[in-house]
Amino acid sequence: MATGIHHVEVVMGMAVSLDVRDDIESSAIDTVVAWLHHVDATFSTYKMESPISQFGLGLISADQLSEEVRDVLTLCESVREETSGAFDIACVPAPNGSTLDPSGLVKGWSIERAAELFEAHGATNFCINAGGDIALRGNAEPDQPWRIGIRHPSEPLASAAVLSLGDRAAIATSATYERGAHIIDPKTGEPTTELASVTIVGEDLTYVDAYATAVFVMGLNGAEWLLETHSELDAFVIGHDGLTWETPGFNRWRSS
Amino acid sequence: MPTPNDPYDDIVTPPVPDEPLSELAAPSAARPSELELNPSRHNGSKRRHAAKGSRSAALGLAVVSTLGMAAYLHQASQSSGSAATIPSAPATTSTKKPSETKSMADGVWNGDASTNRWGLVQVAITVSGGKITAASAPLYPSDDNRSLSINRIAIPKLVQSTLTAQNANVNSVSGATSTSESYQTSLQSAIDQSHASS
Repeated sequence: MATGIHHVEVVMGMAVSLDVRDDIESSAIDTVVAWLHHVDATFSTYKMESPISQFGLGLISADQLSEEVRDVLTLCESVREETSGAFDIACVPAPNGSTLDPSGLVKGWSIERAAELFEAHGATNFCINAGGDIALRGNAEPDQPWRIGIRHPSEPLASAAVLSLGDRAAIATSATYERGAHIIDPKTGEPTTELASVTIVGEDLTYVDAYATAVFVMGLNGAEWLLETHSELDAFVIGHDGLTWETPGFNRWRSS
Repeated sequence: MPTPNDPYDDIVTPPVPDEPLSELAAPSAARPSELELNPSRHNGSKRRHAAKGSRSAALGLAVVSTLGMAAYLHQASQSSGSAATIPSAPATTSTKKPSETKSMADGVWNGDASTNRWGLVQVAITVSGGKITAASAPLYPSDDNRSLSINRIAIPKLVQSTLTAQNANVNSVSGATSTSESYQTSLQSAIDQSHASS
């Protein structure tokens, strides 16, 4: 099957893979790519001229922000409250010198919006992978769901689990196996070390991505928090010793 | 002692370990390092709500992966005053010296059914070749949504095996690869390249 379009765009400091299995106009790709660059220009904490940098540095006020920036900041605040501060965009120094960095939510949010743009262009079967966080729709092939691997923490080219996901799904993994990467616990200011990786499966990448970060910070307590508060989501947690923990519903996603 | 708001401490009638469960507890001394991951838990401390910020109660994953068993065995040891301890993670028992090993008998072993405030709870394990190969909760309460949720946490699926890496044919990979550097060495990069060249 050679139909569809596969495009990789380097934007927001990462590779975003756009894998559309429908025959659509290439303008759909152009629209999504333009959107991702708009998000980068608006929310990048590496660009001093971005509105988020300007606001974080106190150079502009909240009422000078666009509606979408205010919406994202409001979303961030609601997730911070819900996770009792485990997800906090104002806890560590950002590259621009401020302490405001909503990147942890912007990625998932922007990819979910990109999925809506594809849908608006008539696409029904596609997979968007932004730095390992995925929003997908439909199937990979007719009657064949998307097969999604969860990266093995210590073997970059291997999968720790393979899932079959279709229709509408979001999956995000939070981990620190990237060289130099770390996730700070807002409560202690120290990098979190309890878990090797946390994967969350749900429908809306905006929240799935943010919760993966929050659960990673909270450790296994976070996995329990997720079960208690978001039974609609599933989690797959890997410890440094290679043992795994998963929610009771996770197994149904495993590919046979 | 039980604290008022803690559902986990409300498991008031722990099962009395039967012979197979005692066997299970035996190898635990072989993995002190694992147990030390979670000192507070071994002291019978309450499990705190994650969102309440319980960094100090960080749970060792190896211990928690056997939580379904551990919670009950631990409760049993508290109430009976015996020296029973939490079983070690089965996947790591091979690190013990053979002379210390008290192997588990093969078979399916059921813990005693126990009634807590949500209903009847029972755990079972399957032992093969001296190792736990499966664990389940044949009986657990399911009549109330919140109780179900809590009990699902108290009796999680036990994944006994260490992680098995598979090189499977996948369409996309979820992982923390948000730098171009990590992307270049990722399976996702290889997948993207395979599409580009097709």
